[in-house]
Amino acid sequence: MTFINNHIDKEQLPSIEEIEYNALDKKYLTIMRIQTIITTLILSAIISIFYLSEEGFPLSDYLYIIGGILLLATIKFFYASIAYKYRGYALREKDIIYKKGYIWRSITTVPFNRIQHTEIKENAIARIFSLQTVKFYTAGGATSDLKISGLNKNDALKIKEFVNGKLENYEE
Amino acid sequence: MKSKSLSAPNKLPIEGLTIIFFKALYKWGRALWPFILIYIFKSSKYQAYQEYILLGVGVILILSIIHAILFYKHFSFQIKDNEFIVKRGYLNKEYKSIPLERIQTVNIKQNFIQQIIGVVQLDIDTAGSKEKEISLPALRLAHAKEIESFLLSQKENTDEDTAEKSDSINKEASHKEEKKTLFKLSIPELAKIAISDNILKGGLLALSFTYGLYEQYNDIITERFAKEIDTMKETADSASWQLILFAIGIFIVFSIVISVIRIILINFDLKLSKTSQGYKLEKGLFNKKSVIIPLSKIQTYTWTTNPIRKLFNIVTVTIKQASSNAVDEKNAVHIPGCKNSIEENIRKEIFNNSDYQDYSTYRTQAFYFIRSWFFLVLLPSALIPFFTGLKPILIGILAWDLLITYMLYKASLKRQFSISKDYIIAQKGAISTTWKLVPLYKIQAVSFKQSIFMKRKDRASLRIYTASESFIIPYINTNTAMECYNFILYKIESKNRKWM
Repeated sequence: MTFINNHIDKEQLPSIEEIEYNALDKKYLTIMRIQTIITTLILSAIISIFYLSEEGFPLSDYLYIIGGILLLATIKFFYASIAYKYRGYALREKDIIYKKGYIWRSITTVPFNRIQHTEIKENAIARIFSLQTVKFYTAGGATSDLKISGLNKNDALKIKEFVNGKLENYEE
Repeated sequence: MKSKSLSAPNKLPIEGLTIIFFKALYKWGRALWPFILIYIFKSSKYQAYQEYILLGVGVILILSIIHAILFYKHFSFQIKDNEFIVKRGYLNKEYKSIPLERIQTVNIKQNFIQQIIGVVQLDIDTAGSKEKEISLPALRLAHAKEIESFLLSQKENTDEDTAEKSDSINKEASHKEEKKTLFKLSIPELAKIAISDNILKGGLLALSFTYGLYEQYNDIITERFAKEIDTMKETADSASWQLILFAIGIFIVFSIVISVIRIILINFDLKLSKTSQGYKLEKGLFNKKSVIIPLSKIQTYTWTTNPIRKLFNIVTVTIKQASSNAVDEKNAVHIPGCKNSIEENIRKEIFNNSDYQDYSTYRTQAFYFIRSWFFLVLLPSALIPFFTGLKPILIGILAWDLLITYMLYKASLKRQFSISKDYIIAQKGAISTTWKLVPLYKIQAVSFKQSIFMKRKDRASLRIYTASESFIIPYINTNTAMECYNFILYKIESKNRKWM
């Protein structure tokens, strides 16, 4: 093998700026909203129990807190459609990219040759809508693990198999 | 090809029984310590139940002995088909197997009891995402060393050249000979380290611990020390400037004492030596620790200095290997009191690059510090008087504002990162200065982060993930961030280098 060590022009490297992202399944928006409602209910329930059991908890304070929770929940409920729109993933020849967030945008890339294994997961709510999560595990704890939620079963399996196929290529 | 003693199932040495017994007792103690404390403080109250308490203690002792015997009987380890296998447990049987090439770190440790009994503990970690750790609680030192060097040499072979496997035993022998001590810490040097360490850390640790204790056992303490607390309250009522200053003084002295003791205990008898595979670090008084750091497994390399350390010409080096538990500090190897010249040599040797000229350096933009200043200084100074009234804390607020403003100003001068075609160095600090060096190919994932406010100012942050930790490069130009992002990915993906 001849040794090649060309000069690299940074301008010509493949860039993540010119990428078309795949959208998540539309049902995922509903799931995000349901999750918001559930969290709101649980939070309100906890506050209410606290209010009822604690003597001398003023009614006005209680109403302020509940009002605050409801306000945040409403914002989150409507923000979900924006958040949903800005989530997406893309597969390239050598890595997988996941972006999310409108106000706080993030784009994360994990190269296939740094993935240890992949897993398909589904939680109770997602199961009702037959949506799944694909999780990509990297070495060294959970910090750099990548999780893509809101995929329909077909896509989840396809992605998992595509990535697994890539992983096999790396084994000697 | 294999070490003979390991191919058949091995038992722990008979001394292991004691260690398992004490580990069981320790678990009981940890579960029951509130009750033990109550008993100690209020022993008079429970006089009548003395017999039951003794009975309980007896039952715990007997259970622990039975546990130790059963655990010991059912514990075995061996190496078979290139896998390290541990079988353990009598009620729930456990079978753990780790492929040898997956083993990342092998550590030998010795706590106080293990020192008395004369055995060591061997921990094996694979750095997988799922919990994959094996711990052999009691081994004779020679045996532990044999296993350690066998596992590490095995790993090296699979990394480099499988054909060399047959020589592994010979190589092992030569490994042992080629050991060179780089430096040892004497007591005066330990004192220097203690002085130059962050002394407030020790004080805060002690304070939070006592406070936690106080919270938990409030009633016991108030009952027992009722008188003392009353007198304390009286003096507190007439509290004056002098008293507050006095309390601060006491706190600082206390911090220094705690911190000095802590540092001496942890780093007692520290010895760093060079082996053919990498480095070996031994340290500790009551809890002895011996870590082998193979060069190829080092993920991130950090060195820190501060004004006092500069005076003494020393730095603290932290080396991190891949670990399945990247969140806690278990995987970090701290080498304090490293002379500047030695540190430079180590760095050169690990990364075999001495050329620091090819780096392009980018500063974190002022907007980052202005934002921090807004949240840490302006907002609290405006809001706190609104809630509490201005007068009583004006001086406190002013002192805080000046301190934080100064720190942020210093931090803004230091925060930057440099990237070359193979390495990235992130620099930060306010009073102290910290550099983190990571080879680009060891990075596992990159994140580009930008809020809409940052976008307007054309700034973005990068988060870099490695197998041992992640760190952020805040507020650089969007273009620079994108370029680095693409470049790092290119470096990881263009070659299939082993990074662990």
